[in-house]
Amino acid sequence: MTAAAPPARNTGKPRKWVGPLITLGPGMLMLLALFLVPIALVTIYSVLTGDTYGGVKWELSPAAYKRLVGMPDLEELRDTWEFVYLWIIIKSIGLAAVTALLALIVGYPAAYYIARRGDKQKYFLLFLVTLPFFANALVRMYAWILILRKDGILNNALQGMGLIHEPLQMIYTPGAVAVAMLYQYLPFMVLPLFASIEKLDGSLIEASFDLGARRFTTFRRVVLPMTMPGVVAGLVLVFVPALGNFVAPTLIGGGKDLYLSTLLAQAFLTARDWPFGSAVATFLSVVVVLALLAIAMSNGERKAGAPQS
Amino acid sequence: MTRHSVVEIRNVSRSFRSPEGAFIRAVDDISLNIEAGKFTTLLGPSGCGKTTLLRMIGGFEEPDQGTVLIDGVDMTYRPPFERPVNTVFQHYALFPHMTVAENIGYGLSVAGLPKAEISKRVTEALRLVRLEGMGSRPTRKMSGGQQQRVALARALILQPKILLLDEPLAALDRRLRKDMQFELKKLQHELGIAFLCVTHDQEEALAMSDQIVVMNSGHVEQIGTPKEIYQTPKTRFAAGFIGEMNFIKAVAVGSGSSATTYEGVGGLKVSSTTGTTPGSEVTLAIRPEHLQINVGHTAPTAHTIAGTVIDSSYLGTNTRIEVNASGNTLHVETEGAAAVGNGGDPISLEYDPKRVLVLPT
Repeated sequence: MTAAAPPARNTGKPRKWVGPLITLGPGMLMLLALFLVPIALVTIYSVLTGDTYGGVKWELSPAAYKRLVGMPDLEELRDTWEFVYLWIIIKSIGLAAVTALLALIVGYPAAYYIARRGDKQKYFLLFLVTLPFFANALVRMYAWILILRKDGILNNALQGMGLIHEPLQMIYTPGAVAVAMLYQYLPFMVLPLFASIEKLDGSLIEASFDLGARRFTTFRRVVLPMTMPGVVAGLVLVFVPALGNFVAPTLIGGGKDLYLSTLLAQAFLTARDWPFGSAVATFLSVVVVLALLAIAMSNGERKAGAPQS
Repeated sequence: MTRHSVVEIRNVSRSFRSPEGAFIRAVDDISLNIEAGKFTTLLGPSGCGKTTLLRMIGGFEEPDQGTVLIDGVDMTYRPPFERPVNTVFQHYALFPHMTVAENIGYGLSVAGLPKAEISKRVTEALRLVRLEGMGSRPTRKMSGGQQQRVALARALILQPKILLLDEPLAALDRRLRKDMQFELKKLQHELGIAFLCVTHDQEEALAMSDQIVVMNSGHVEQIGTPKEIYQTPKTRFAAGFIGEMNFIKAVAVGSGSSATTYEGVGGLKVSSTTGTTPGSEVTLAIRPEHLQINVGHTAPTAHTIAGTVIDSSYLGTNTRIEVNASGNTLHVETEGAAAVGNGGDPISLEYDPKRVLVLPT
């Protein structure tokens, strides 16, 4: 008898595990094989000793974490604390956070506008938002290089208009990386925002106006609190992938400024220090999971205080 | 005390584009005064323009033409937050992320009043709508009737010149609706604030209003007290929309000393004290309760109609009888259980010519 077979009649109780097995089973299996196992491997590697040409020796060692937090290490000829790697992590988190905030500032008005259109227009505009997904991510990044580089479109245009006399250094700056990532992840912000703004009952806005609240007050006290789930979802959906983005820091950032992703690539591919790379990856995962937990808990508290739909 | 109008509507029109692309005149050149301190109802079927009119007073729609004055000030194009008017929305539009007290205090808090003052006035408002001690509850946990009261308190706490109510009772069940009708009326009398209520329910309008504005397809049919509207409707629409009415198409055939005789379908003769020039076509209207039913053949008098019973149904306090009078179907209502026999039985209907209204066709 296979798992998919319907429960035999007259046995009384239907088998409770059949439904979950069919619906959740395949997904769970995928996650187990392709996500949990690699994560476990990475976590284990991070506490082992590195081999000279990559790979690991099965000897426990805290060296990778010591190096990550910059502890003095005589073998590496360091006798003081050095926070190179922690600084890279902080910088990466900062960059991802700025990208997420920019996406919120740019995406909210756009999502609001789209959500308040008629049905036909609404879904056409949403389609336009997702249009960049149809082009290859790498191609889109090369386009940004053409726009931002010294003799690129933007510099040429600004010089042509006489606004600047020397070409600006735009490419290979953190700002350029943030803008490129903003462009890449904006749909992830707009879509959840759209979903929660669309659900917002227009008569609540009218009620707020009716009670004397002007537009900004209405936004701050009614619209924003009611669409908070969309804001949080959008921030998470932009922040998390931005933190691990490899293409933008490499191509637009020029690879000279190390971010988490480039540091990881360097540790595994160039330095062939697998335990160190694994330690960076594990540390990053822990930070992300803690951040998500904090958000989930603050959401739960708000719900308990004043229930939302 | 001199009467004055809290809202004056002058030659206001508003059109909408229908999904098919045609323009619909939702409000068609309406002029109307709403008196201060009174309970006024805009009554009409859906799509008659009553809600559009209300929304133009509240500031949620702008008229294409015309002027809206509130308390003597031209407010035609002012946004809602600048108008001394508050609204109870059809589905209450309570803020779900706020408690009852936060909802009620919202307007005061937006106006920047000190917290102590707000909480004092919120407590008063809660008492006014009989929700003492419920301030800290989330609005979602409240029943429909309670939510309605919160919406009322939230609007009334700002002491508007006029309170607008958009189908305020439509979402409540029947029993609760009756209670709230009475309560709204009482509240209005206590506070003396003008209420302007939109409804399609004629019973509700009759029960609550000092003044009823009957509307149909974008214009006003009649304005009057419930009694005037019910007893002397001026148009065929007003007569048919409020209460039950028998209509008989007829032609004036001749006048006697006290009444004019009209002749309808099948040679049916009816007389009315209201006269008109012979030969003119009119619609006669008479309420079912103004027809007195007599079973069997009786000697015809000047004010009787002969007919046969089609059907009757017993409704508790009264009985409804359908009668065929020379091919005209008439409804009759009598008190209690009337023994009128079966379908086809002959009867005669007696009426008072003073009760027969003569309306333009």
